[in-house]
Amino acid sequence: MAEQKQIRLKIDDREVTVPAGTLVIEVAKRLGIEVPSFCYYPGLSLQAACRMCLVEVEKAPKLQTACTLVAVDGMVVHTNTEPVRKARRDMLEFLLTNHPLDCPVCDKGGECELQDMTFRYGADSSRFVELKVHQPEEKWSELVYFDMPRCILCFRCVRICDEGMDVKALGVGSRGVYSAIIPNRGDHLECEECGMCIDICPVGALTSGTYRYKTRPWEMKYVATPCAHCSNGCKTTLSVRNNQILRANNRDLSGFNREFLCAKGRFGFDFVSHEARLKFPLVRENGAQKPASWEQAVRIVAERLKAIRDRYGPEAIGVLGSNRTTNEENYLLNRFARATLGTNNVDHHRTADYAGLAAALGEEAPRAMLRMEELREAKAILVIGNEPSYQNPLVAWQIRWAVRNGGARLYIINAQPIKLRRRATCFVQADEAEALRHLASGGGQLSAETRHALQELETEIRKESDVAIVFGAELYAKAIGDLVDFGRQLNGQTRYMALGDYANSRGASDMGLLPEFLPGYERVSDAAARERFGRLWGTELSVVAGLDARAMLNEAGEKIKALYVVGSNPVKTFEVPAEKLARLELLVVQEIFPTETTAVADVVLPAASAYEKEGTFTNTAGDLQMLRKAVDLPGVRSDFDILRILAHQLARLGLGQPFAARTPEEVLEEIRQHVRGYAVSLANLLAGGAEPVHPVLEADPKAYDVPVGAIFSSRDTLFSSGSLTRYLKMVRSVNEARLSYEELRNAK
Amino acid sequence: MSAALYELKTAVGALLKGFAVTFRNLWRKPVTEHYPDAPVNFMPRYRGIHVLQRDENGLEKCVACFLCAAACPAQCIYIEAAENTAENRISAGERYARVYNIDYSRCIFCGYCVESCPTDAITHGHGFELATYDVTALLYRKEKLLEPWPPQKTSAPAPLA
Repeated sequence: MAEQKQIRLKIDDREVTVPAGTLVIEVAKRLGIEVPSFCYYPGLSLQAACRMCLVEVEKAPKLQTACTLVAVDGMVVHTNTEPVRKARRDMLEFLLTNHPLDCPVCDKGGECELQDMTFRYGADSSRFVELKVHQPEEKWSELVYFDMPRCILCFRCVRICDEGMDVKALGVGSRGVYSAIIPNRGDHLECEECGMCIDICPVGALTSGTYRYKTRPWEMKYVATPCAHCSNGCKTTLSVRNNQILRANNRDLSGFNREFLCAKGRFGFDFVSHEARLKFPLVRENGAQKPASWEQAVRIVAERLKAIRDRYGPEAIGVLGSNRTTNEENYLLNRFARATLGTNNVDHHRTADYAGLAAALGEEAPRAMLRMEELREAKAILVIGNEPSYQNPLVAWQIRWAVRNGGARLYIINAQPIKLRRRATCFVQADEAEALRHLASGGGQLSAETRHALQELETEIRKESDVAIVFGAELYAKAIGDLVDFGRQLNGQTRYMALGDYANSRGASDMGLLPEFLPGYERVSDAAARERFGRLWGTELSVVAGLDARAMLNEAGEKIKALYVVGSNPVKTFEVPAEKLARLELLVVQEIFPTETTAVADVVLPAASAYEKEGTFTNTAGDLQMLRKAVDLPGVRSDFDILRILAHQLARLGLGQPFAARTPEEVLEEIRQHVRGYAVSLANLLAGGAEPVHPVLEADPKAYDVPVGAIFSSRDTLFSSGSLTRYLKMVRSVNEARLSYEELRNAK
Repeated sequence: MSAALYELKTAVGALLKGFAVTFRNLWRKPVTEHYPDAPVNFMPRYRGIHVLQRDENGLEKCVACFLCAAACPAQCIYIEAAENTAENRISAGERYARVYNIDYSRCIFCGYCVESCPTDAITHGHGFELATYDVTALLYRKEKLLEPWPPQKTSAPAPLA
């Protein structure tokens, strides 16, 4: 890249050198000089609507708005002279002419930008004695409320909805003092309900349906933790009072998602206190599930697991993991299955082929994995499959950011006309795997028309360098091999991101909840790896090939006599008939809510949700983040504790060894030392940052082989998130939540 | 000799001065309170047990802004807010205090809560009989703190403007 021209200017008698094209308000920020503003928001288009950022520029006839003024060489700017102070005072007086002084009632009171600015720059009294224009509050949806008189018309909401979200649900109507923000359906909103408008509002004009009039900002404690829903790993700040989560927002802006959160991240926290939560263990007695104490339940599970293992051998037990439990829990579950029970029948619902990607990349992996943060800076992006706008909202946000602010070119291959195509340089509607085969080797069954379109896309993309490739579950096994072959032909460093579905889909895969892999993608067939983990776990590991999830479920009641399910609902996800699972001699389920699977379980153990425990999650791009415990729920135990207690019980019965680690941190330490690619620095993690993990798998020319149907996306939308969704009261209350994946996609 | 005379003079002078004060106060109304035989006469700004005021329509003045709880150095005020609805209107604003507790085992009667209240909802009354055998009885709930409605004749004076 060409060296950017540097210019020198003076602000408040301080010399500064900045790249040409920088805005004066940004230069001031760099110097630590505050120039107040409402409408200016980095990353959004410039508005110059609020006039708060007026500064004095020498040789300019009038005060200038710092947010639109581009710094030029030799410029002399003053931000704290009497005319500037008077302008700020007067602007605030104007803004307050119709703004009600109901700060004690307003939800924003205490964290309101207008309140702060008036304190810092405003006059102590107002000269206006006229009556204020008043309008009643409007309810736009269950989640968004609008109080017109409080609005100061900074248009941040309009711009974030249009430019940021590409939804365009908000606009400005009427004139003069009657100007107001209006929703797209006149009196109500039909949108993605992301709530970005609420968070970005500098005043209390837009308020959140989940939080309205509940408490005040200084009364709560704030817990920043990765969101529990999709696989993007956005940081959400939970506001907690009295052991209750009252809201989730982006107050802390510390995550790689910065200001972004979707409907689930912002409003999908109320499942924590849902009355349907499982709060005590259930044990089936004479055909009916009855509440039991933890002691009884765990003893029964241990005794029966031991009996089944003694009678039929370890291969008669299957373990189905979760893509929502932490890395530490997944690691322990792996140990529990392979070392304590001695079976390789371990799997989970795979929603992306992470192992396939690692295998196809081989040693290249550390350089070729695209991090979530890097996607925002990408110059050329190829999206294959998936519908990021509805399934991976942060990925879509990052892509839109790259296109809008970085001038990135976007190429899309998808069987459906996905929403992102509006921002695409080139969109080809074609079956993803076939298109890939065509790009990699010229084969593939495609119509001549599609072939032609693909050729055009290929010509364009070959001119790019450092392409970022984002792909969904449509591509797995051989198709990923094709993709990487194609990527190798492109200029520069091609980087990849596989899109999974759930909060720790990637972690479940990395921690080896797969029949053929130990943690860190070390093959079970590899004697050295088996030996190493065997020594670590105090036993000899079995070499018998394990069954995958579908095979285990098909064999339920036949080869498989006992199934241990953690945080998963196979009856729904894998569509196995419940009667089939009922034929098992023992079905144990660790779950937070009653599901179709818990209904047929012999023992149900109530687990803590992601907001009630500690540990780490790996997002789909391989960013490792630490969870922070926000609340406690009496009765439940974390999956970590349940596995520890159970291992202890089994050890007393003479099976396996108890787990020595008492806390998730101790297990993380073990993971850092023994799992390939997870030797991350702790300092950044503890400080709330994200650390990249790079599992390395020996390049495998045959590609990693998975049967058809082993990897599939659940097609969750912005309003659904597996079985958890049924218990998201607020998110489910909006109209859009009633639409199916297809309807939602076609509605726009 | 003169020194002894001088001493005598000043001593008698001081005595007379003291007796003059006593004599003057003989005719004054006594300041002694005959509590508990007679009601106590408080100065108007005496800081006693709090009273949560109502407006002229009988609605609670408190809008649950939490400023009193924030100002309280003893952290003895606990509030839970809720939203007014058309069917259930408690205060004039959008929000009202669903729960309003003052823990009198902690309260130091500093009056900061009254100072900070933007709606003049919390005031000091003249109640002071807090003694109890049970410390949990010192946690006063909103129902106990609220001014009764319709208004009754009480010893508590009107709030200060």
